[in-house]
Amino acid sequence: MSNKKIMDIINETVSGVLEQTAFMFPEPVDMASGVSFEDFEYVLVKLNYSGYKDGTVQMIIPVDFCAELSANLLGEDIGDVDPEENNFDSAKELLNIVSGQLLVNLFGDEALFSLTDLVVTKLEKDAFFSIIEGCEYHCCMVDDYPVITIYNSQEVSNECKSISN
Amino acid sequence: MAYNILVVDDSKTIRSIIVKILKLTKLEIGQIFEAENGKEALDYLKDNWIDLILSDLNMPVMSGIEMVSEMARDGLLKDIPVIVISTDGSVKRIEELKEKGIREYIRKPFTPESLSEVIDRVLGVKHE
Repeated sequence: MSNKKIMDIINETVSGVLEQTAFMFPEPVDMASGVSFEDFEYVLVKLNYSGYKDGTVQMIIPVDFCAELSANLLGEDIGDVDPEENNFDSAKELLNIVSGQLLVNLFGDEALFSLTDLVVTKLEKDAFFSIIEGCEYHCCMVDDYPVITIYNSQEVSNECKSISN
Repeated sequence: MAYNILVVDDSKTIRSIIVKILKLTKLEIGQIFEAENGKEALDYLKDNWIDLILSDLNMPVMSGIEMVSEMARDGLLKDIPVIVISTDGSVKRIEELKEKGIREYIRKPFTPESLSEVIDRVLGVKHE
């Protein structure tokens, strides 16, 4: 499968999950005209998948986006959601749902996978740029927040290249 | 008849979403219990009458599959209907789960309508 095709499927999956679960509507990013990643604090959510294929799926999202995501998922006002209790949990669940759907969209519903080791960590600026400069990623904007998805499979090359939707 | 429902998921967010949806359905609900994993769910089942279980698969301590297997070995618990709600969407996994006794499977992301429809089907409820 070509990298372009994979990026299209990631785009379709992330958009579909955010629309259906949180009523959020991602917009395409024009990477050629540049995206400012500087203005946010980020969290990295990561899980491993194994089975039909092995690899990882990661999402990097702004901390403030986690709060909006929690509020939208729960159908509550942002001020009513306990950030400590809900925000990272919502980020993990977003990745969990995106990953499950992504693997079905990439490999069909006959392929068997296990999703394990779901972790969320805050990212320092240096670590953020080190990650996105070292791999291929998908980026879209949701309510002015960049939402980055990184899919790695043993079959996908690690060529460094960013592709937007 | 009011139904007692047990929601099993390690994500508090997902449990909250499911509970909200349950309260929006036309189903007559008695009590809603929440458990973070299969073991905690089995503990609830020892002490409470439960009519329906909505459970995730991948959870720490005890997974949904392990919980269903434990229930199948217990004469008092084996007939409680279990609906699995999970991101794991493979046909093989669903077949495996149905062989173990789960009634239905819903893949995340799900809509309130789809969850409500499946619950009604499993409980045999018809709304006027």
